[in-house]
Amino acid sequence: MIMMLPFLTSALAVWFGMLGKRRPCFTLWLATLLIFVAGARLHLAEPFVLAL
Amino acid sequence: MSVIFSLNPARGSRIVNTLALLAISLVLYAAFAWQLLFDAAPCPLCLLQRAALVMAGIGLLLNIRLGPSPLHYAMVIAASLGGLASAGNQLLAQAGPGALPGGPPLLGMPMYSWSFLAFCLLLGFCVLMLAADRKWGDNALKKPVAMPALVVMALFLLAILANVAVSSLECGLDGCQGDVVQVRGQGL
Repeated sequence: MIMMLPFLTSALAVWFGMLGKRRPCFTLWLATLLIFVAGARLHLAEPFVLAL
Repeated sequence: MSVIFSLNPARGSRIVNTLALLAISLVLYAAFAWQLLFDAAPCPLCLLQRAALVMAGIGLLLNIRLGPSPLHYAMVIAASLGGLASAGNQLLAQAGPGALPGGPPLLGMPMYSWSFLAFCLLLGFCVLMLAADRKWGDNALKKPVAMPALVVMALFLLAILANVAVSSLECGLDGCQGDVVQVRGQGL
């Protein structure tokens, strides 16, 4: 579900962007960014196994 | 003064932004085709990279529709940094011992390397354009959009809607965590 959400909010943001409405577009972009950060916290938190 | 009262301000810059948005749309379609061609379900990190690419595209789209602005370029930079973190994470994970197999390479490089390169290019693009576009300032007045730019914006929207369909069909409610091989999958 969380992987589909950023595309959904960004599709809406693009729609408002195409209409030339910056405020709703930017707000939805910000929502997408927050979902992205939530997804990143979930999937980028795994420790690396690196041999340097 | 002729700059401020121009009927079609920043035309050149908006054409360059249109080309950049077209490139992003093509990358999204290519990733989509790659996924269908090799029957590889998108991994969470790949979807994060696609989402970052889409967010960067929104900044470019606003540049086309409302004219270049530092805010729009900031949106592209923030999205590119997020994409770099995601692609870089995948690069480092694959470099370590016991890494899970990635997807098929494209022109000798794995997709996450291409993705990393694409986000670096986007950052470079913003650096150049911020230097070139500094005279336009910031406003949210709608600008006339030519038909080719409208087609590019529609293509971009279609690519996003395709990703909505794919991510909801293939990931469902479990966030694409079902198959462990796909967690470190193809990239993009």
